[in-house]
Amino acid sequence: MRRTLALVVGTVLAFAAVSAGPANPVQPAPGPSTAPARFRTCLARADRGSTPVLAISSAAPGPVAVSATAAGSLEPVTTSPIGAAGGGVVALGDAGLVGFATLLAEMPTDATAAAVITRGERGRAAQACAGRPEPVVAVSGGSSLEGERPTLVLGNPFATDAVVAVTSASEVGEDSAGELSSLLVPARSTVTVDLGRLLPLREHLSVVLTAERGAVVGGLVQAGDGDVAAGTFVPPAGDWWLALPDVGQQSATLSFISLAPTDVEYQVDTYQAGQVTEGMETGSVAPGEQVVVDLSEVVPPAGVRVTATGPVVASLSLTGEHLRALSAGVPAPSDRWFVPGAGVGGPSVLWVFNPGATDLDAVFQPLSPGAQARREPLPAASVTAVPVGGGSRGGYLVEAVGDVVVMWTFGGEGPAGFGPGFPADG
Amino acid sequence: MLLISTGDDLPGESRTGDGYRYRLVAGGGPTLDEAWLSPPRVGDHALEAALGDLASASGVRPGSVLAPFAIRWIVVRGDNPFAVAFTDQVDLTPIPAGPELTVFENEAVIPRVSVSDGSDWTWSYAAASGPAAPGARVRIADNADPRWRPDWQADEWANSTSAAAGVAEVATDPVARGAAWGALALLVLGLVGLAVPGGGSPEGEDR
Repeated sequence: MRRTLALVVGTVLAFAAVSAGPANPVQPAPGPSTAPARFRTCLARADRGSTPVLAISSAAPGPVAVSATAAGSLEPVTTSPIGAAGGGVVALGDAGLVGFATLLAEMPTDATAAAVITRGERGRAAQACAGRPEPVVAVSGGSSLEGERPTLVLGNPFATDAVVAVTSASEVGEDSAGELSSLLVPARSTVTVDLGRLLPLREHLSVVLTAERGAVVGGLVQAGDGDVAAGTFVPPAGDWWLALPDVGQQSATLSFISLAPTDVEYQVDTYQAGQVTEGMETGSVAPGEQVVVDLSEVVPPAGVRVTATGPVVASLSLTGEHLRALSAGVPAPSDRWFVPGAGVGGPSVLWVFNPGATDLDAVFQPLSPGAQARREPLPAASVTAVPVGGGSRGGYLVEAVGDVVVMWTFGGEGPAGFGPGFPADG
Repeated sequence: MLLISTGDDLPGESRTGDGYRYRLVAGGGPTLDEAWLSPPRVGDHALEAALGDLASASGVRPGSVLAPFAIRWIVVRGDNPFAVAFTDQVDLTPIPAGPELTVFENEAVIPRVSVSDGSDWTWSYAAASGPAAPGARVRIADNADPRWRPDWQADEWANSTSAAAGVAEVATDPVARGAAWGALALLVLGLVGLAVPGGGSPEGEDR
């Protein structure tokens, strides 16, 4: 009897331990409560030798009206239909864009996502588009070392002038340029700032935008060694999930900046081939300062989770020979993801991070008329690489039977683009 | 002109939305009769719904939403939902007006009287005129009222008439017009009677 009771108790305790998953002593701060937006704002650079396209994924068919900033006005570029399949591509090469421009894509529904995909002489990049601008946003993963050229791009497609405070952090702590303490971004314009000139020779740069008036969409374009990376500023959260891809990088760096008014406790966990390493890195970060974690020892593909007791923004940057790639993470797993741009204009790889303790599977649906979906297994506590062909008209919809995180890349072993997925429910 | 505020500080009567009060005033300057609002009719309900959508909306063109109501100017006072909704938008130009007010000019405005062929008409309170345009329609952004003519049709909550004659106007009912003139005549007579020395007074009758 006693042996049976012990067996039952032991079984219950073991089951409870597995069900609960890894204990996490750092309780994350609440995530952003992003307002719905039936539009997306994007940053694009058009010049000789690059061919940007705007890739759109939508939960509903209908027209997408695309406009672009040009010399203080917002000019229509095109109106492109999104069909029942949910994908669309707008070629920006003929849009008359000069240099950096801000795009406004007016969508048929709130549940959409978009990204600007660039392939060209400058390299490859996937720049996620933003929804309704948030007053405080940030990005990490910049560098202004010798040969690196970080450019801050601020887009204001709206009718109201915007004034933003740009603050930053580097390996020396808070490290802002006084010239950027109050920066005017006129209505219907795009402003660029050469961060390499203002903040030279910083190995790791994180940047925060605080809108004092109006609203902007921000991007950090990091160029160097024959490639270019493009990160989009995102609002802070206490929980970040990232998929570390394998694109032949020589180094991978996780960095995050604190936007909290007080010290923030954090914990970094990694998930690799079914193994969870809790507290790979733990500590405390002061207000306005950043944390940089070298992930070069983590064998890709792998999953990364950052948990913080206050609002932070976490990004992943990859470097290698002729390779620069950068993407912010996502603040929460979901079971449905849009991946705009994946499979558009060339093969891509979806990196699907299943952080749970249970094996899952997911359906990968190209957003193209008549395209066949396929199902793939997603082992627990792992990142699965799902290569896709180059025939999609707007990206992919990933529907999993549980919560996962999706990021994607194209190229690799040289120039590569890297970007996040977007929860498909808006 | 659309006035929006959180407080009870709008001129004259106002209507209530979710967390704000609002009213329309004529663009030419306020008049005494605008102090009171008539009971809401179909166009007023349409404006109420449009504002409700804008306050929580996910779109980027509030000016286009307000344009059919012939709203060219928007004055926002206080911390209400429109202070945010009118930040991320592309068709309302902000006009500096001090720390207490935010004024916008609607770039997408449609005039109160618009003609389908694009011709330019002028209008007064109850009439509009311009080049005759056979086959064209005139839209008048007032509450739907079948007294507009010629060839009145409802255009959702507004009015549509033929532009063929080069004029659109509110036709008055002859009976109502006669009754109004009669009432006016009686009023004048009564006033005259009161003005005559001794006239109409009880003392005069006694005399």
